[in-house]
Amino acid sequence: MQIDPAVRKSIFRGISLSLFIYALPVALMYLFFSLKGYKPWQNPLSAGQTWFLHNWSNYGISCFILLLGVVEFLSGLYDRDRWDGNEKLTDIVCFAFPLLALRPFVTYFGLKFLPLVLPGLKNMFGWVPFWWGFFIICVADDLTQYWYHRLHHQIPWLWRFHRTHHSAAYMGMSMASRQNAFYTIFFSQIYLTSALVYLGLGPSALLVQTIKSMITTMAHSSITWDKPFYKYRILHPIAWVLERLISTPATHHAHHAASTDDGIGYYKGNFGNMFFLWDVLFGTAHISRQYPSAYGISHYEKDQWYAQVFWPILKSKVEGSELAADGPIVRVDAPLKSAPTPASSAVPQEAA
Amino acid sequence: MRRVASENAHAELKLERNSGGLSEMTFADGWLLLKKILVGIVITVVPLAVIAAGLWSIQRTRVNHPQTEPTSSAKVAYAN
Repeated sequence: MQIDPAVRKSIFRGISLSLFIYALPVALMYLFFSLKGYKPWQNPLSAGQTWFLHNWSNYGISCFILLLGVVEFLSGLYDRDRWDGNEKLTDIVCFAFPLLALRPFVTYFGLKFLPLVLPGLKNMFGWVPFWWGFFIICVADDLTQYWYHRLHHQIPWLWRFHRTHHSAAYMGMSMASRQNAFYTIFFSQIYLTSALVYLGLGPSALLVQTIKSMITTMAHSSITWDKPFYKYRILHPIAWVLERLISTPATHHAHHAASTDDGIGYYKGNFGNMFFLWDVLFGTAHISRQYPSAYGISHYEKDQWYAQVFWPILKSKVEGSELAADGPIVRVDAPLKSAPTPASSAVPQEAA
Repeated sequence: MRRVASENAHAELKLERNSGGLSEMTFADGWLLLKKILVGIVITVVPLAVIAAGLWSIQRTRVNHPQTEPTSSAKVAYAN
């Protein structure tokens, strides 16, 4: 299965532009130093600030995600009819996998592998001021994740590694970590940021990671925190900025929609994780202030949790599934069963 | 076309297969994983090279001082 020529052209054009965007924060920092005569090595981050960032990143975010999960569950925001045993197991294994396997793997990468391949470069750029480091990592980490994510949607043979993230017919905070194990373990932006930490940008990376975790978790959550911004006229200017800058539940839920027929769902775009700005810049944005009526994949037939997590090592027993041993690389979308006509099917949940 | 033919040839060389649907990893799957890892390496290394080259240039032209002491030994841990 080949990539559509128009998509291929768009990818090459976007990646070329991205090279300049990666260099932009560094170029601006250079300009700032030149104009101000700033000496960055004179203002290192204090030990107290580093301690706070480290602990907030480790414990604060974990508590935040746990609390969000409890609120979603107690509020009945999980669709219990659809969240059956297989789906629960998929979500729980995917939630635990990064904690049990990814962290040790990344720690090994940072502490053992990088000193081996980049000897003598540890903290080479430790002089980079905290906020400039923050700016550099925000762009580097999130733009890399945008491309990692987008390529898994637009290159047909990569799709099956990302399919698990889209198979659920519901939204919730657990969706943020619901991924195939190989998609998770080879997350490019983690290794890029780890390398920048090794080179001396550690404290800045902690803050970026904290903010990014909160934005991405809230974008997947069934708690639609952005609704008031669309409802009250006085908040519309803030909504206009927010929905273009970061991933909101409205724009990210559209990415998880089962169909594009209603004009709300848009799984062919909205790839941004922390920043939605990348979608605006690269022409993959679809800004919506409503929420899709159905989530997931139109042809999903409950592939076993182990196949969803460990494909291609373990295969699905569902005949014709993309994750089955002889399944197609990309299966054609099926019309939604509950949505035969535009009038009845895609009745959006009004934002107001 | 050539890629598809090659994948089909690999697919025939299945390492192990059973009727239960488990352990059906094929050479084609292994090749797929390898390609995926290569794509990941490229989109990691290219931005790293751009940023590191930029920072190194600033260090050469603006900083002009002995390498600073580490400001932190903190590690980054990812939530997702």
